[in-house]
Amino acid sequence: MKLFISAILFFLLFIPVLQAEDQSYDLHMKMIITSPDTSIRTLNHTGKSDEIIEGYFLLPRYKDMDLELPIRAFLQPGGFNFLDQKVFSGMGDFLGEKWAENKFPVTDLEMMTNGMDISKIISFQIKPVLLNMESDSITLFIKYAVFNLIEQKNYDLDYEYNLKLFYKKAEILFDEKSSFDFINEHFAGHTISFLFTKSSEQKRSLTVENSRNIIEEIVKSANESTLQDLNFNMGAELYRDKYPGSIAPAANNYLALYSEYHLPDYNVIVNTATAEVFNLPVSIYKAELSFPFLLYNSQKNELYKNYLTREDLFQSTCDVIIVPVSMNADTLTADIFVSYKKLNLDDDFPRWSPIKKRLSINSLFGTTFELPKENWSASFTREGESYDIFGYSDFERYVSEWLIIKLFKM
Amino acid sequence: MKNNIFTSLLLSIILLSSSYADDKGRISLIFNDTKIDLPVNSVVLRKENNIVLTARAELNNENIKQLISMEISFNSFSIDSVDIYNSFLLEVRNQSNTISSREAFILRFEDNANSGEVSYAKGNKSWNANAISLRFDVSKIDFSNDHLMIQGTFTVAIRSQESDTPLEPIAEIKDGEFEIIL
Repeated sequence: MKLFISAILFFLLFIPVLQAEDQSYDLHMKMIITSPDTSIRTLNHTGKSDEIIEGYFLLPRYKDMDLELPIRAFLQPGGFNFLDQKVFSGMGDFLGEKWAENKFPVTDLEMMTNGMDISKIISFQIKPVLLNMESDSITLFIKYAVFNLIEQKNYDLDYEYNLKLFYKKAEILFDEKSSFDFINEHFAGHTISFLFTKSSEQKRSLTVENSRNIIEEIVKSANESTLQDLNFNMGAELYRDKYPGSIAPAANNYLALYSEYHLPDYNVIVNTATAEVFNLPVSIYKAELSFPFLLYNSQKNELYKNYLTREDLFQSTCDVIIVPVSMNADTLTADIFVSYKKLNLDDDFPRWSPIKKRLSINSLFGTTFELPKENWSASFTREGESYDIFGYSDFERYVSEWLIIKLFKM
Repeated sequence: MKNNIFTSLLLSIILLSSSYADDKGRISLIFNDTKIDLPVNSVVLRKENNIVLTARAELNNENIKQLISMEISFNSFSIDSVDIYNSFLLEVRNQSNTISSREAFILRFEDNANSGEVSYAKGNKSWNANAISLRFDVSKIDFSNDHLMIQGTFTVAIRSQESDTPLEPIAEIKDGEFEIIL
């Protein structure tokens, strides 16, 4: 008993003191949700080392009928918000009155939700505890609620749900992707991973590979910016459906969705090859969409299906850098730089052209543009396994791809 | 201009490779005591206002990464009708397993030489050119034994203001030779 009380006293008294020494350090979290319907969503958080992180991940009940896209996950104070227009559209006013009477969202949960839309939600709160900046690991106190549809009764609007609240403690290494069985077990087929990194630098540096022309263009755009305070955050999505597709999502055309929200911002660019440093007058945002390359030519896919090197090589990255230029009411003008590598070949051969576009991004609708089809090819050998991939005939002609830029005003 | 090009598109032949390297043909370059001989990866022959041949050859494994990418525009498909102002590409990349061994020439002209890129990279450094001297000739076009063979020569000198010695070429190729066999 004495030991237990001592432990509590330690946490109450000493942790705040120890953490106070680390207040200048930033903690970065990437939460990566990989779903079996070929979708990946990454959520970013940057804050002080003791800052609580809250958010939710929701699975809609009728995925095939859902005009929204499959994953819905966000970081936001309070976690899942039962009045969020992203979740409920028709009952906001009615639920709003209820909400005002119930400060704690878990209270009277069934009354507060439109069960028709939801199959399962996890609403979470993560309290990081970093005792020592030199430590290679971090302790997480995770509180989460899982809201689970049990059944619909008699085909009417009477639904039965189960709600469970959990408290867990976990310790994970920095710079290593970690996943918790105690969370994943609630979402069969989905994997929820966390990647924590730390930095002690005041300046947030974006490292860019030796691509001087692109760096010069980014700096040029940033110098055009008239913005001082950025009271918004941003997201980027790469949406793919069957060719000829339509950006209006249709379940029978859907192929994949890769998205990253709450994009980290940077005010310095570093050229990795030359170590040149460029200070920027405005913060810029970067999404690093990373996802498996899918060979839609089924014959070619069959040819390589047993190749051992395939998993490492068939990895796509789509980097999106957003340079805010000006803001007018709810619309941001920004320069967008897109670098989309379909394969992970670790060479600098030109296969895919970088894109620069100046776009207007509305806070309600975002902005969307179709990615061009490129007639690329790659002929390579790794560990004795030879590949001949022709971009158009093996991939591009099967798909339409759009890049969607989201703006969230704070 | 682009509309004219596309509306006058008469012939587009895309020869994509089979699984066997020997069937693809080869592109060879000899320059500055270097010989690069690579299996063709893809070839496109298209008819716009001009006849444009685009060929790409690649060797890419753990130890060596080599690329030759060429685009030659002909007024007619004959040795005296090369029109490098219409469109032109000569891209040569050569790297063993260290970044310091990397060397790349990129000479690309488009839209009647109104746009393009000329640059040179060696190791970690790269330079954009502000002056270029280029001579590019096709000396032989021959179709026999089911193979199309195109041979020629090229000489290049690239100068850059970004260089420590801007009056001296940062890269120079004298008496370079190329051969494309399809």
